[in-house]
Amino acid sequence: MINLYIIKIFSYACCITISALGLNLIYGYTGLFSLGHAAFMGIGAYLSALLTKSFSSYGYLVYTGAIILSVISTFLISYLIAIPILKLKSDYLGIATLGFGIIVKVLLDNSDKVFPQMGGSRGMLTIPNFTNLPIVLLSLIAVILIMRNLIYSKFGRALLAIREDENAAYAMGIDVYKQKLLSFALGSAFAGFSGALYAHLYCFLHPSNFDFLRSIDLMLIIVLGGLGSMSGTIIASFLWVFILEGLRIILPQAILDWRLVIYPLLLILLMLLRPQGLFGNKELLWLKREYP
Amino acid sequence: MILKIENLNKSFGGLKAVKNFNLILNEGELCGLIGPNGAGKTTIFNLITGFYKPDNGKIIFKNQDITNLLPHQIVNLGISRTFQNIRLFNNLTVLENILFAFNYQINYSTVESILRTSNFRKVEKEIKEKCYHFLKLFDLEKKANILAKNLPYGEMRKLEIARALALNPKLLLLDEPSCGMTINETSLLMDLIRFIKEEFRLTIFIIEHQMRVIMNLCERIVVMDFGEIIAEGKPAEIQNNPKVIAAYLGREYAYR
Repeated sequence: MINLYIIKIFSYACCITISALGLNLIYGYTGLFSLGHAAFMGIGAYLSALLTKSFSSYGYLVYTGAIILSVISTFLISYLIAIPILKLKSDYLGIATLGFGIIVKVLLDNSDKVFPQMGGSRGMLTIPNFTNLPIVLLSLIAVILIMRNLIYSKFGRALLAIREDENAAYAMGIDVYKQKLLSFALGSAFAGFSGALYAHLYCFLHPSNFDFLRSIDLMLIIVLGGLGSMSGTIIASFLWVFILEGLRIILPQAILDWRLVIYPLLLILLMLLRPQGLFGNKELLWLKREYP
Repeated sequence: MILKIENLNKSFGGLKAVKNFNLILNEGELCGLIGPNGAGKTTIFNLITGFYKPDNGKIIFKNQDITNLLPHQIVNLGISRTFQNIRLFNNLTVLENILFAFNYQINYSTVESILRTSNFRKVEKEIKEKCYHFLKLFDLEKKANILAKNLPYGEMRKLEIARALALNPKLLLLDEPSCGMTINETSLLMDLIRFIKEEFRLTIFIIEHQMRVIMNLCERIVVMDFGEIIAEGKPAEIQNNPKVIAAYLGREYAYR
């Protein structure tokens, strides 16, 4: 029983990691301040759940198809959204992405008027349970590999250049706008992927799972782990999930509600002691830079 | 003739930063651009490199109209620049700073970099060798793994120039390279500029405030004031030009 519970939490942590890695690509590596990341997770989750629920008799076939489709659609949707809003910078971009997140939440709240299966603000029920531990684990490893290979290539170097100094990036012959678009869309596609896995893990979706607070959580994780560090994001995601759950077990019943006070206190403490995040921009093991 | 600027105009609100600017740069020359503060020198650089769009006028580089191209497209055609206030990638190493300059010369696709194909590895290896070659050329190889922001000031300049050269330009624009340097560092810089002109056989257009540098290095000098060219010629001619003296020291000194 306890094993099943831990496996579920672990799988959930894997999903969060995939999404957080996407946000790290957008904010940590490219410097695009995005506060609407959970919305893309929501789009991926609802889209794939709608498909698998409608064609549940096809089993894993439709599951695979739904995941691929939601990754592609989040990529395209975020690309289209990014075309106008990436003209903005820093805080202004943050506000624009925040606005987008709110729009998605409201649309999901009212989705049942168009698609009754999506349940609107009552939540989407009876989604087939396809996601299991091997699937999330393999997905996570694949995402880490893809991200690492991208970061240590021409593409990743262009993103770092943009983050460090946009004008200098221009002077290096980098098409800044195009690279930003790609980074944003790719990071969001990671979120879509993570959402699709998540939907079939808990078999229940609610719009509040993808609201602005969830975006803040993701932002928190990557800042905590260290901006521009994959190792940091991975470890911070797992810590975040397990500490939040662990406090539920450790704390006595009487002060259980203090969970959400203790956890922010831990955050404040960590930020005071290590403002650059757990890892700064360092990496572990084979995630390290290849060149000497 | 490598660069030709025709009737270039640029204003910011009510300020006419550049007025009817005409200039021809010949292949292989080292031309200087001087003028009092606010004369519009850096604006000219920003116009040539596409950071600003001119109100009207034409910029032609190697018989190609580059007036409305974007900065990265202009770099790809062979114009690279440095900045007045050094713009390095501060939190990255010296090696990475050079490495980034090779980015646009790399031809492998994103899919190839995800799959780490043999072509990818071959290209990356070549690039790294080229980087080390560059670092060696500029005597920075021992500092390859130091963060750019931790370099001494003179070497930051050197790295920025090296990075601009790694883009393999035909025309190099240097914006006040001696700014903030000591006399010693300035002498080293002058040697460096002479060296790169020989080594890379390129055309150099340089903005400078230190007369020692400009008079020693340049074959030709263009003088700007209030967005216009007021004089043009060999260093000796410029030194005795009354208009130049008036712009720098005031009218009463000009005709004594």
